[in-house]
Amino acid sequence: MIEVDNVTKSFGDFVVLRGVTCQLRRGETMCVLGGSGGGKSTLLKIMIGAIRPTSGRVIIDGDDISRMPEAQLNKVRRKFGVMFQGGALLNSMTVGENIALPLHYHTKLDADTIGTMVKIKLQQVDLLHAEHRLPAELSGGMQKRAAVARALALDPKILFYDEPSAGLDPITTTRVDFLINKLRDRMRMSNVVVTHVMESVQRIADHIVMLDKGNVILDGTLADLMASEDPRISTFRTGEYAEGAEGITSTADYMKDLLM
Amino acid sequence: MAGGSIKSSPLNPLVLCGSVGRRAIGFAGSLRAGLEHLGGMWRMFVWAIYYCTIGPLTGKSKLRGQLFPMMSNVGVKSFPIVFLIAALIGAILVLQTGDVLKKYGQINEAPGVVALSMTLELGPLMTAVILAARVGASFTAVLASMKINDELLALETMAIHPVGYLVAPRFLSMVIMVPCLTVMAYLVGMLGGSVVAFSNYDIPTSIYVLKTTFYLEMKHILSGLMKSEVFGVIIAIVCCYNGFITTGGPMGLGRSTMVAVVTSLVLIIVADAILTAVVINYIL
Repeated sequence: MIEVDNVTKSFGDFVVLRGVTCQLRRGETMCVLGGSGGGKSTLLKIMIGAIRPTSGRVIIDGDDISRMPEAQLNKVRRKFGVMFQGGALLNSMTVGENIALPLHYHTKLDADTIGTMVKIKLQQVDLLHAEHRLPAELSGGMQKRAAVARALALDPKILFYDEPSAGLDPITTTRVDFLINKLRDRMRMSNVVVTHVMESVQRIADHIVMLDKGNVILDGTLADLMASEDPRISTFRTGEYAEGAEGITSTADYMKDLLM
Repeated sequence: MAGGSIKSSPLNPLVLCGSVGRRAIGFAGSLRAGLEHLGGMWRMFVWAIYYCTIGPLTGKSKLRGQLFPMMSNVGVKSFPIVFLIAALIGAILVLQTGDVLKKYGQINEAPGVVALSMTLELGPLMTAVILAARVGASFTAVLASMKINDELLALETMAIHPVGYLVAPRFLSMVIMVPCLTVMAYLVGMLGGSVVAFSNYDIPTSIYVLKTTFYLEMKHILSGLMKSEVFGVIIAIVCCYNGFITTGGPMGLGRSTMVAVVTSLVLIIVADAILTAVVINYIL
């Protein structure tokens, strides 16, 4: 479904990703894990074609998007939806209008049909009552679910989630995780979830890719993650912190970590 | 110790060369950044033209739902402030020139001064300055906020071109409404002038209108409208572009808005100087 092949990304002299290789199979949820500055958001942006890799390839359903012209890339983009960390709903529009936007642009459906489709998408995320509300009137969890509904508008095969649990309470986090599982199980959707919340990973992950300083340090299952004795993985898994253990020993390291 | 201080002295040729070299590199970097921004604005202009002309025909842009609200924001809601400023400018022109003209027995020519000043220069210029501050700043702030909240990226991932969706209606509304507001500014400026001419110098309104029509020709009106069209394009592109390149949260938003308004004003004055030279040498 998606093949990330030896992808490297640098910004000037700063290398963010170093030869990342991984694969997403149809109908599975792949969690991309890692600490801050590990390169997971950059990897997500490369996978959705928002930025180009310095080297390597990203193949989605047989199309290499890493060197593809913008017009062609737009056709591939209709195969996937993206839920951004803050939802990224257009604040000047109601939730319903947000979901209708891609349908107006990419289909020739009449307004009534689009209205019905909007309701179906909202029903899928349990937000039918919020159709006429503005994003600013929704809670954080509702905004994320509305963003999922918009990402589902064109019936994509793949959904990308950028930190779906960020800023949510544990119950709402569970609800979002349940939604991710529901979409995978009932609609056979493939999910790529960038997260650092271990509880979510345990609930949703079929496949885990863990990044550390731009390198893949784990490509396996939840069982592999739980069994790993690599200190970088075990400390992430348990959330243990020993002062100086992560290399934040100098002011320069501390600043680098903050700026990432 | 003494040797060390000589080596680090600014008069040391090596230190001097290093300093000049650093400044030259800094200047070259700024020049390159400036050219990159110019290139970026040019690309945005070309895309905006595409999405205003070919885009709606091919279904790649949908202006219909957005254009009229945007035109209302740019034109209708700006009219009160344009009205006030233009009326006062017309009045001030008569007040400033009236005494001198009266001294030479030419007070009846004051309507001509107002008519030509308003159409050739002050009408388009003041309208553009008001719109850069009122509308241009809001364009930048809205687009910058959308950029910071990943809304532009969200549009891209939905295969909706942000220039087609966000810039094209703003660009087109400026291109349509700035000349309309400029014509309003012409009329209101002359109206303001006529009120002062009547109250301070006893020039009847009928004489004022007669003198205005005597001096004013179509080429004056069209020259001003040509300027206003160019100013509208400058405001739309500069302000939208600065919104699109915003980085760095609320501070970045404030910085972008300031840069957009200042750059628009500078480019408007530069374009005004060039267009005035063209109008004076080739049209009038």
